[in-house]
Amino acid sequence: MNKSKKYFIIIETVLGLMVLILGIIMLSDRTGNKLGRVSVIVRDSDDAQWAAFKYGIRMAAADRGVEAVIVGTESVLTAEEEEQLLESEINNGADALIVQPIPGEDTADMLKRIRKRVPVMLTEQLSSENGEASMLPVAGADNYALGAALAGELLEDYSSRLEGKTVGILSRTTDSDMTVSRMTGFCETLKGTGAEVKWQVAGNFDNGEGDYLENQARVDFVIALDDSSLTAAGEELAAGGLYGALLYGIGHSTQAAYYVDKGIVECLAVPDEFNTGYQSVNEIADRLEQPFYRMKNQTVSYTMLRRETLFLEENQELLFTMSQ
Amino acid sequence: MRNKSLKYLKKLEPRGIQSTIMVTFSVISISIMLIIGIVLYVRFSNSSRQETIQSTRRLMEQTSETLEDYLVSMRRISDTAYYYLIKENDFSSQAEDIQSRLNLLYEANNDNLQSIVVYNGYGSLLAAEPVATQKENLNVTEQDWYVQAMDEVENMHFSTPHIQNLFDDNTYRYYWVISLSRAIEITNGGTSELGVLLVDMDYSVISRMLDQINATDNGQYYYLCDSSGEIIYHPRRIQISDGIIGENSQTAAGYKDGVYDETFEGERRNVVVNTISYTGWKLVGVIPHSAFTYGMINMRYFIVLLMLLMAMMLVVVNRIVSVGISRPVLRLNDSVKEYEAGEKPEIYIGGPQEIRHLGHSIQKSYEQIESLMKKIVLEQNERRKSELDALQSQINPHFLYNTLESITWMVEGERNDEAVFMISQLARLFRISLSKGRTIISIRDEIQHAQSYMNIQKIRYKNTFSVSFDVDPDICSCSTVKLILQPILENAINYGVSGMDDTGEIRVEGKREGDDILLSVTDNGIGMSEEEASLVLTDNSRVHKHGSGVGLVNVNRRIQIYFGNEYGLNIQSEPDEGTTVTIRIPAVPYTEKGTKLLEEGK
Repeated sequence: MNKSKKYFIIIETVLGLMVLILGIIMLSDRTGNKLGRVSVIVRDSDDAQWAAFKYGIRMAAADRGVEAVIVGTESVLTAEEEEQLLESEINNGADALIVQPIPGEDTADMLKRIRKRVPVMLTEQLSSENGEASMLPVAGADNYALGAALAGELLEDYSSRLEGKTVGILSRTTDSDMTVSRMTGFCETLKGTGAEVKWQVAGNFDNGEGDYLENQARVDFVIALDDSSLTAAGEELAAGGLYGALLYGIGHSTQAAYYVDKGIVECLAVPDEFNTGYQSVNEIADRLEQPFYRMKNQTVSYTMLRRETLFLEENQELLFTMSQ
Repeated sequence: MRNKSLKYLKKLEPRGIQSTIMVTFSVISISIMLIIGIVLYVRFSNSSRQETIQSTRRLMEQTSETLEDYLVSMRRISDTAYYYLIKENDFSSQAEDIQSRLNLLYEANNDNLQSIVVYNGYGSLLAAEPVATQKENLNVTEQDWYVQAMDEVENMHFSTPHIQNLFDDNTYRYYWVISLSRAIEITNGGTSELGVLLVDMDYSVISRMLDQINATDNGQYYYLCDSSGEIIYHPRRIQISDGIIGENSQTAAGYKDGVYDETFEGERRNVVVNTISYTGWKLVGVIPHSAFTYGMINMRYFIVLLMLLMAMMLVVVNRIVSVGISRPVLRLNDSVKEYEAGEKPEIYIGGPQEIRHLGHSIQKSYEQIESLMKKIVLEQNERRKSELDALQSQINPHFLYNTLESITWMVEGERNDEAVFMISQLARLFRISLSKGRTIISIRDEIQHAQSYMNIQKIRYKNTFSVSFDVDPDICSCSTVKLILQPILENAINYGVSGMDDTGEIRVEGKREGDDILLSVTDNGIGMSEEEASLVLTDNSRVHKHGSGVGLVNVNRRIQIYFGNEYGLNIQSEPDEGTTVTIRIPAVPYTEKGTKLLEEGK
C-alpha cells in the first residue's frame, strides 16, 4: 500500500470516527435535558411545615434542571416503611434521594446500602451509635446552635436571671439526632442559670397525642424543639392550657408564625428550610453532573422571630417561603 | 528551534504529484467549506439573535399591556369605591350601605383582589371587605402604604409586595399583596376628615401573569421592579434575597425603554426594558447570550456533522481527481524509472494530450540516444578498424619485400651509398609509422614520412617519375592524422604515373587556407572519369589491384572521425590529365595536450 493511500484511509477513518462520536452526542442530547430524577422522602410530606422546604426543592430543581418528586407520606412513618419507599423509588427510576432519616436500629445500614446505588442526601443527621451514617451528607441548620440560640433568647428576655424558673420541653421524638442536638444545645446554654427542666415530653402531637400536654405540671417556660411540638403547644396555650406558660420554640410553618403573631409564642427560631431544600437538590445536581463529585454537608442559617419583628421586611421573605 | 520546525515542515511537504494535488485540493476545498459554514452560521445566529430580541420585546409589550390593564382595573376599583361609595355617603349614618356596596364591588372583582379597607385619619378601621377581625394592637398608621398615602394625598400609591398585616386569619395563612393606597375624604357625622382607602391586590395575579412568560428554559427570564430597583416579581426572588444569585435591578431601574447590552456577574446579556405606565415599574426581560445559542446547540452539531460529512466526501472526490490527473504522469514516470533501471519497456503514452506529447518526446529522445549510442559504438569500431588498417599499411609485406629486395640488389651491385640511403629512408618511414603508438602526429613528420616513402618508391621504380614537395613551413607545426599521405601517394604511383616513361610527376603541396590546412597530391597520370572519381570515396568494396589495400575511403573516414565530417578528402580528376587529391584538415597546433584530446576524440 503506498503512502498516499495509507494517508487517505487514515483521514477517512478519523473523519468517520468524528461523525460517529458527533452522532452519538446528538442522539444522547435528544434523550432529554433533565439531569435526573430526585425523590424526596420526608415524614408527613403534605404538612404545612414542609412548605418552604418543598419550595426550595422546586426552585433548585428548576434552576439545575432536575426532576424532583415529593413522595407522599403519612405522619407516622417507620424505618421499615421508609426503606420500602426508598426501594420503590429507586425501582421507579429515581437517580438520587433526599431523605429525612427515621431513627431505627438498621436505618444506618439501610442507608449505607442505598447510598451504594444512588446518591443520598439527608435532611437531618442520623443518630447512630457507630456513627456510620454520619458519613452521608446532611443539609440543614446546626441543631445544637438552634437549641443554644433559643436558650440565649430566653436568657436575654430575663437578663439571665432564671433562678427558680421551671422549664418543660416538648419534642416529637427523643431518639433523633436533631432532637438530641437541640436539647443539648438548649440545656447546655441554660446550665448554671438556675432554671430547672421539670419535664420532657415526646410524642406525635399531630396524631392526637396532644392530650399528654394537659396533664403536665405547671412550668414557667415551655420549650418546643420542633415544629409539630410547637404548633401542638401553641394550640394548647391558645386553648388556655399549660397554665399560661411562656412558649419558646423551633418551627417553620405558618401556624408557628401565626402563634408568634398572636403573641402565644414568645420567640420562634426558624431554620431556613427553603435553603435546606435548595441546597440538597443543588448538591445532588452537582453529584449527578459530576460522577466523582463528593457531596458535602450544607449548613443553613436560622432566624429568631418575635411578634415585633415578624413583619420586618427581612423576615417577610421567610413567611413568603412558608406560605408557598 | 526555527530550523527544526522548518525541517519538520519540509518533511511534511508532500513530494508526489498525487499527494500535492490531493493536499492542495483538500486544503482549498475544506477552507472554502469552513469559511462558507462559518459565514452562514454567523449570519444565521445574528438573525436568530435579532429575532429573539424582537420576540422578547413583543412579548414584553403584550405583558406590559396586560399588567397595565390589571393595574388600571385596580385603580378603577379604588376610584369607584372612593367616588361612588365613600365620598357620597356619611359613615355615621350609612355605614351599612357603604359596607354592602363595598361587598358588591369586592365580589365583582374578588379574583384579583385580596381586600378593600377604609381607615380614618387615626388608623381606625371604618370598613373592610371581606369582613374580617382586625389584629389586636395593630397600628396601621406605621405601615408603609398608610404613610405614603398620607404623605402625598393627591396620588395613588402602589407598594411593593408585602405580607398583609391587618386581619386575624385563623387559617394560619399569610397573604402576599400589593397595596394600592390613597388618601380619601371621609364624611363622618357631617364632618369631613382625612382617611385612607386601601385596595390590596392579590400578588399571585401578577405572579401568575409573569410566571406564564417565564416558562422558557433557555435561561431567558423576566422580572418586575419598581423605579428604585426593588424587585416586585422575580422568578428567583428568594434565591436573590438569600444571596444565592444576584440581579442587576438597580441598574435596570435606571434604564429607559429599549434594549441594552450589559455584563453582570461575568455573564454577557441583553436586557430589554419596558416601563409600566403610572406606576413607574419596569418590566425587564433578561436574555443571557447563552440563550441565543440554546436552541442552536443541535444546529451547531448538525452543521459540524454536515461539514465532517462534506470533508469526507471532498477527500474522496479529491483523491479520485488527483489519482485521475496524476496516474498518466505516474505511469510515465514509472516507465522512465524502469528504463533508467536498465530495462527496456515501452515508454507509457496515454492520458491527456500534454502527457501523451511528453511520452512521445521522451520516447523519441530515448530512440535518438539509442541511435547515437549505436553510432558511437560503430564509430569506435571503425576507428579501431581504420587504425588497424593503418597499422597494416605500415607493414605491408609486399612493400617491405620489394624494398628489401631493392636494397639487396644495391648491395650486390656494390651501390652501397644507395643501399644506405634506402635503408635510412626505410628506417625513418617505420619510425614515423610507429610514432610511439600515436595516431596524431605533426605535419612535419607526415611530410617526412611521405618523403621517405617516395624516396624508396622512386628507387624501386628507377626514377621513372619525379616527386616535388612544396609545403608551407608554417603548417609543419600543426597536427594531422598519421599516414594519410602515403595511401594517396601509393595510389598516385600505382594508378597515375607507374605506366609512364620518365614523364610522371607527383607534386605534394601543403598550405593554409583560413583555419584549415590543405594538403594535396597531384599527379599527371592517366586520371579517371568523374564517375570513377566519385566512387573512390564512397565505394569501400573496390578491389585494390595494387598497393597496401588501404583505400582512400579509409583515409577519408579516419580524417572525419578525428576532425569531423566537414573535413576529409576531395578528388579532382580528368582522364589523361591527372588527378589531384586534396586533404582538408583543421589547423590544430601540434601540442601534447591537443594531441591527447584529438586522440580521445574530443
